[in-house]
Amino acid sequence: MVAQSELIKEARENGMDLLPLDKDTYELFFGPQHMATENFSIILKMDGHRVVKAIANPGFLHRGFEKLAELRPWHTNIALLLRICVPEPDVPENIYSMAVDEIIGWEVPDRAQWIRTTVLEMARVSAYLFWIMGLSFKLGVYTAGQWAAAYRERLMALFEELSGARVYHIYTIPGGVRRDIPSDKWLRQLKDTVEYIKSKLPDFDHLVFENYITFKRMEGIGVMDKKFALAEGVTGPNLRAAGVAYDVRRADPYLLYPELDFEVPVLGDGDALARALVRRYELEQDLYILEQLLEMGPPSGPYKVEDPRLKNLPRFKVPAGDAFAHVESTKGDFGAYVVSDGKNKPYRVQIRGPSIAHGVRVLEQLLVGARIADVPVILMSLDNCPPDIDR
Amino acid sequence: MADGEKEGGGMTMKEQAIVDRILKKAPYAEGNVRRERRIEFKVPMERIRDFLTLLKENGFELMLQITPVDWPKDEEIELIYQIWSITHGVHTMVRTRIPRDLEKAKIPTIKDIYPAAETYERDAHDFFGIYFEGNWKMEMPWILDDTEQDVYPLRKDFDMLQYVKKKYKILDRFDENKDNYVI
Amino acid sequence: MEEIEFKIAPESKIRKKPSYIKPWLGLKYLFKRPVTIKIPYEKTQIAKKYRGFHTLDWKKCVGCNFCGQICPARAIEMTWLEVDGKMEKRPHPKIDYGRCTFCQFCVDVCPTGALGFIESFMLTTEWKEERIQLFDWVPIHPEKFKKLQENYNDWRFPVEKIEFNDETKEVVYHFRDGEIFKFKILGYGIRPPKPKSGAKRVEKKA
Repeated sequence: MVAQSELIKEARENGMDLLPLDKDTYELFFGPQHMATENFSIILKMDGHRVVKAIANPGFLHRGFEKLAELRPWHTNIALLLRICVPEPDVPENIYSMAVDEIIGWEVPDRAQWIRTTVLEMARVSAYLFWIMGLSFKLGVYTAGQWAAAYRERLMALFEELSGARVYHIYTIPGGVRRDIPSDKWLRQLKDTVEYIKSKLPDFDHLVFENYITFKRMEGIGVMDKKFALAEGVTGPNLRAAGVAYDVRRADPYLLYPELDFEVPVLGDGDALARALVRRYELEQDLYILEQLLEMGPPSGPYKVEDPRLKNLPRFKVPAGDAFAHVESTKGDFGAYVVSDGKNKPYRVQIRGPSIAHGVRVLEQLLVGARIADVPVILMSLDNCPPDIDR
Repeated sequence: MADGEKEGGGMTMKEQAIVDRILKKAPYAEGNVRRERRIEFKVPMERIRDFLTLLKENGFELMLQITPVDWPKDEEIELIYQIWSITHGVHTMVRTRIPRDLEKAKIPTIKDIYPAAETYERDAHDFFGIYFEGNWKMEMPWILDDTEQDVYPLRKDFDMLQYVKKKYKILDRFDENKDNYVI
Repeated sequence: MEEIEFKIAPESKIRKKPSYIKPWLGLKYLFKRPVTIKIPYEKTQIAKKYRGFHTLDWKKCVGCNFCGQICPARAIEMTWLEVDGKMEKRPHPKIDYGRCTFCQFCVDVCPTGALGFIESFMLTTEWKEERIQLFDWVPIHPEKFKKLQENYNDWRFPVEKIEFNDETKEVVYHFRDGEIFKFKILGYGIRPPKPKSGAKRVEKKA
């Protein structure tokens, strides 16, 4: 039996220090290869199986979008900027187009607004299904996750008919959309898909949301109260589960949302279970919104702005000015700030993803005192998306 | 993107009332209304902390982002603090200007007023070189690697294509005619 | 805008009750047929206007380079070609699929409608020099591409092999049904290459 002091001496001589905080603590690198963290890493200082201190370490997905966007013409930036949010790629397209539309000052036609709203809602439903898949995998209920992935396939087939690609649609441009709805058959297929997913929601309830194991694992974990959430810049379902009623679709309405009728869920607990239940209710409400949109039907008319300047797309100039636009995505409040100085390329584009507030400071404070098995559950209940932080 | 009944200046009365109330308490600032739910203020660099404390007491709770914009012609960097107010339902932009030189680009931090600003200030420091005094996380590496710490890539005098050609050596495959390319 | 009411959902609709029995109801799918489609053995139907490879009508292309200017990934290069001893009057775009993002902005912007797209999308090779040549090509006429696609009915690249001879700068396309198509590359860029005695080598292909 070797004494501990001799082991420590040997470790130091060979450069294998583990930098303990105290006699019994060690450092754990919860790194980017782990399936639970999705390209993000956390440095944890642990005592036994409890976390004492956590440091978030983003930067693995930095691709330099803000500088690259200054070198390309206005319309081309859509093919570049939509790669910022991977589960819901329609959201960065829409905020960039809304900001540029506001600088130019033209009026987007009604048919294009209907199509943009439908596409945003479909992206929300598919992102919530993706979130259910992630949550089930982390809790251990792999069955429900595979169901969610299968239902998401139907939505991706619909997107393929509409825009030409399954995940990265490159469909919304400043001034409208690129193509028209293919046929009336597409609208009927969308209605069938919405009814199908609605009929399968009780299955998810039985397995994930009304499961005794879920309650035992998620209740009382990762609690944040109202004052903390507002001070740290938290938005989206995380803020609604902490007790503040703030939804961009109602507070700062855009597109066709003033004419739609839906409810906003607010709970007061602020723990991981409340966040999961709020998202489950919003999935139901999104399906209800899609039904209302399909009943309204698309208005007739052009699907993009007719403007003679658009004949020469590489040299299309935008007048000087700046604008801010934001949209409610499933992760939070996604915003874009665009500055133009009158040339054919943007002067400055900045995209604000919601995870820059949740994934760094909030995570570091919520993880103190959690067990090692709770770390992925807290990450998923905050719905952290690392490409938003790194851009 | 407004629809519904619009009576000219009637839709922005609430925003105008908020701007007037804030400007009465802070006479060193200027403010105006852009459109409904968008207002902006302009504040000199020394009074930024007092102004933001005043805003926080008047119901502007969420700090969304701090955006630096580089204007090399005026030799200044413009900092824009973007704040959303849940009680009033408006978005406001607070603008200040600081000198552009690397030695002189310093401004006091606001992380005791809005704690979320700590992360946004680290972001601005890494990409633009602005130093926020009082934020002790400035020296922690944020996104860029160690080899790129002093490069400050988002400034306008950083030539990205030359840097990439030097570092990776594979960019130009043909001797292209560069007249009409916009990229 | 002030008339929108903010409807907050009642808590009874949001909260759920835990139960021990309900998770067992997930077993009802155990004996049903799985929904997976076994892709190499069964085929899926892809959409009518799926964004895949490009087609080019050589007669209509005027060489304006709008497609090259708008490409976000700088994948298009204008090339001067010589077919059967006669130089084409205008340059044609040459597309590099290693860089292309398949956004089809180049198709939207083409003023004469010469550049088009078709549904094929599969192109995989090994990392050998002669196989990688497949990724750099001047697209072919849409009628021919459609004929090849209907003959084989799997969504693969229509050319089996491209040979590029460095000294004479001659390119040979070997199509999948056995046809051969040859042309020569005289130069790149928008300005025509200077005709000197002996072919002028402007640059090399990396």
